[in-house]
Amino acid sequence: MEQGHIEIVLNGTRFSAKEGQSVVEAAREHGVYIPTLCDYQSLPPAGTCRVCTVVGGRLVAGCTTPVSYGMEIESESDELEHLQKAPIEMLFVEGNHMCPSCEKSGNCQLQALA
Amino acid sequence: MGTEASTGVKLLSVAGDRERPGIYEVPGHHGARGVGAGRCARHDGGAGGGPSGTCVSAQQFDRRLSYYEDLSTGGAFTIFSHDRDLLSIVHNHMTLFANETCGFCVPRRAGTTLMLKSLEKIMVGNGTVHDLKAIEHLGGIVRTASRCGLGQTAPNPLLSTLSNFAGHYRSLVRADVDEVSQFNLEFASAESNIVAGRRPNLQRT
Repeated sequence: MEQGHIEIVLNGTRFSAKEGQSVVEAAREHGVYIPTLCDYQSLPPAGTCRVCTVVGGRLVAGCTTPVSYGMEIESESDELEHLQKAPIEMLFVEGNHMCPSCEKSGNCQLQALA
Repeated sequence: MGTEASTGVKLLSVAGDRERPGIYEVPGHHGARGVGAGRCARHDGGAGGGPSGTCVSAQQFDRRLSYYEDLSTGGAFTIFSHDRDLLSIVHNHMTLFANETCGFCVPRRAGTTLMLKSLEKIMVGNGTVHDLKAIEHLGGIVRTASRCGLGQTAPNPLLSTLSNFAGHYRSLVRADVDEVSQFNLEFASAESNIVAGRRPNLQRT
């Protein structure tokens, strides 16, 4: 194994991930998509939208959790899909997203995930 | 004194409808009846550990207060007598959690407000079995997906009363209809009717 790399288990498959990477980053690098909203480029991850909820021992936000040696991560299951969809639904029910008047409409992660 | 996991004694603030409220020093794993019933004439339920704790009915006063084993409490136990309206207590607690959310994570910010709305719908007599299911569903999401412990325990007043006072909730929801819409056309159009000087012509159902 390369230096600075550690082994993780993602959805039952072994991967090598860079040390210090978040679960979301490591998964993306290996073609596994974990949905995110608040994990925005150039901003430090905050773990506020909870759309990237994964199981890493317990339920955690994938964007704020760094990978660790031998970590077993599960990102795809019916229960997780349900937990990942719920915040998106809540965001729309809140009524703070006015798509018709929003300049981001059409190029929007929230719309894409919905 | 106490048990292996809950050793020694614990200071417990006992408040509410009790003959002698105050600070009690009880051994770990103390029976809830000891602090709950005591010489209190009537009791209906108690909430262990403050608003975000568990609300138990008088039938469950045999449970033991401890750190990990049974009924966990942070150090407060509030007794509510029969005269208290259970739903208004829960409403009070849920309003606190909906208002005091920091707004950082979605489940707590939106979820608690949605739960509160479902509860209010039940309180005005428009609730159905679907609303009880919605509360359980939302509560599960807020409990598992919230970012911090405060959010994870925020649905407790509703979820614990819903399971411990299930009969009370079921007696309050309407059984004659499947679903009552939260949308009230009369209310929603009232302002525009005033502005337009229009008399509403709505058929009541």
